[in-house]
Amino acid sequence: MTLTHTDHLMLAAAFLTLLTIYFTMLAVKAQRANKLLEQLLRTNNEKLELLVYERTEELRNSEEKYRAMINGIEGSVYICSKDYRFEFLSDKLIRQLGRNAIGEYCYKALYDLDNVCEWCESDPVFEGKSVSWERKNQADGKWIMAHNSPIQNSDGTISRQTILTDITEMKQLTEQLIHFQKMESIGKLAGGLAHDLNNVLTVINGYATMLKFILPQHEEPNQILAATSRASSLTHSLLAYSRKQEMQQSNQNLNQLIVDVGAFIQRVIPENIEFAVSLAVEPLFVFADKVQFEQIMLNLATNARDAMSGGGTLSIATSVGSIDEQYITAHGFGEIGDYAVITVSDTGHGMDTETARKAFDPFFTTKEVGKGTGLGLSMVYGIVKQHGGFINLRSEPGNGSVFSIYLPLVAGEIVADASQETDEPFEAVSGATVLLAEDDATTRTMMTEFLKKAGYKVVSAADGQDVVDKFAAHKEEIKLVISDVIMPRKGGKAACAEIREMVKTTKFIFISGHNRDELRQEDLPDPDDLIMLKPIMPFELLKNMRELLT
Amino acid sequence: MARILLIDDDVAIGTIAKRLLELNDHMVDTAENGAAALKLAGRKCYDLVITDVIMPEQEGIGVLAQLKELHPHIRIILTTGGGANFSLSDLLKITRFMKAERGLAKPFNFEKLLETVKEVLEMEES
Repeated sequence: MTLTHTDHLMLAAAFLTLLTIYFTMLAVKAQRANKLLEQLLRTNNEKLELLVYERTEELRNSEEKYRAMINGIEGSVYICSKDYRFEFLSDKLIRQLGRNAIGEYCYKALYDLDNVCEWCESDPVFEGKSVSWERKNQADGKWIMAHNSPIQNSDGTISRQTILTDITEMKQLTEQLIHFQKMESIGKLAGGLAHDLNNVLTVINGYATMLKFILPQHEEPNQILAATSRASSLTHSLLAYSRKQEMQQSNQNLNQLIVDVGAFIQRVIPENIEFAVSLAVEPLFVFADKVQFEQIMLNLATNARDAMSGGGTLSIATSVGSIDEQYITAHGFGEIGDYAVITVSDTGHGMDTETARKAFDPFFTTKEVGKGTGLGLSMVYGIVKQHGGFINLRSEPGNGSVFSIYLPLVAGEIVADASQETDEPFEAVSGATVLLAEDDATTRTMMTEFLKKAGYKVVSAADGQDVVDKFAAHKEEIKLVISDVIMPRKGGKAACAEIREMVKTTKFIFISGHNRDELRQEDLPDPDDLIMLKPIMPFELLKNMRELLT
Repeated sequence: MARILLIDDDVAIGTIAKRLLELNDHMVDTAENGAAALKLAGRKCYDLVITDVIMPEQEGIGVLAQLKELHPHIRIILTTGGGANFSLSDLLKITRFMKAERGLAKPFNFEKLLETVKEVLEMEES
């Protein structure tokens, strides 16, 4: 068969069409492939971006973590290069310096020195060793501890990382602890010594007394007795220091105590010393042994006098103070609470730190040989401790000394607590009237207030005869008598007998504060009657009262 | 003159007190512990007993109770070392409980002891 021209043309056209279709198809495919490729690329890109983002985030977290760690360190942290230029400073150090001192010399920025600090002159850190040291900064007296360690840089050089910690407080506490332990052990030693010495003195006293009877015309035994009694008072001082002396504490208005002892003090100081007393407006009740308190004040006053041989001012002041956690941290002693504060200050020659530190040690004295026993202040310390108090001394050479004594405040606290107490055993028996006999006016006022706040009606009496008279006047109401054992005009026991003549069933609570060295049976009430020994615990008293009245 | 029984485990103090009381015309027997004291009291009569409350062998209180049983009219002066384990409030309790005429805290001075002895012996029978 032969193809016509037309056929050729048609064929060619068909071919062309096919070709076009083919190419079109190819183009479409390519386009699709491209699209796919693009998509693929985009996805990968996104993945990469995410990865980078994640890594960056991790790095940032890690950086933040380490930065937080560095900034969380108590001390100041910095890194410096081998030529002592800052490469890094912690936030705390930046705050301390007031600027970010990167690039500055550490010795210049920290200590204002023009050369490398002497303790860094041969610095083993740059040889790869860690080193720590402590030193006292002469400028402000603060103790600094430094931990230095090498940091290997990627270029092979070594930088030094330093952590500076302020250990002043720790140093002070350690020192105080050592001091406290020393005082404790000296106290034990002194106590033991005094006890044995007392036994020996008893024997000497015994034989001397015997001699007195054998040789009645001779003066010598009396001399021995006088010497033993002087020795006895020394052992008493020692016992007071070691807190082994029996105390006779009662509620005392501190202001009154100061007024009383002030009269004595006036006598021991010469005219060229001015004596100033400034008392708190409110009465400050403390639970104290009056005699021992007088000893404390006289001791401090004579010390002050001796420190002001050229004249000056001795001031005694009272106030209310409280010890809080801050105080305890700063001073290294104390217990949280409210205190009556007695400040004794002089304008004398003062003491240096070393002397002040030793001032309370037994047998430490700055006075000439024969003038001081070295027991005065140690006794003061012992007595204050025994009263549950604290003593603090501030002094500077040439600037006088200030002794602050903290004694726990009593009255207000006790009364407030009693009124809030709701526990049944302490509750007042409603409407009950009690007769309170106590010859000491301060204690009487305080106890009356306390019993009234607790819910009782109170009739008070000042001595043994007064109790009997007051009872006779109110014998219908009074069911219970709280009476001191030893009172003027009539003892508690005799008063009790008379009162029971009138009303046989009257209940009694006796209170005894007389820890004397001699007890007389005739003063002591019947074993069936309750005796409470001072110090009286308020709640115990309330409980006993309730038991007797119900 | 009185017949006195002195109980103290401290020999030195016992000896001194004995000689002093003898110098004051009393007749004194000493015992170092409660058992020895009771043995003496079983054979002899005493007007006054001076005893330390704390003694190693037998509790002072038990001894006193038995002494009182043997000699109901005996007068008592209690003494105590007042050491770390014994406070004055304990002395008060025992003095009261035993109805002792006097309680004396050690270390006493011996003139005080003599005075107290004189006072107790001069007391009228109650």
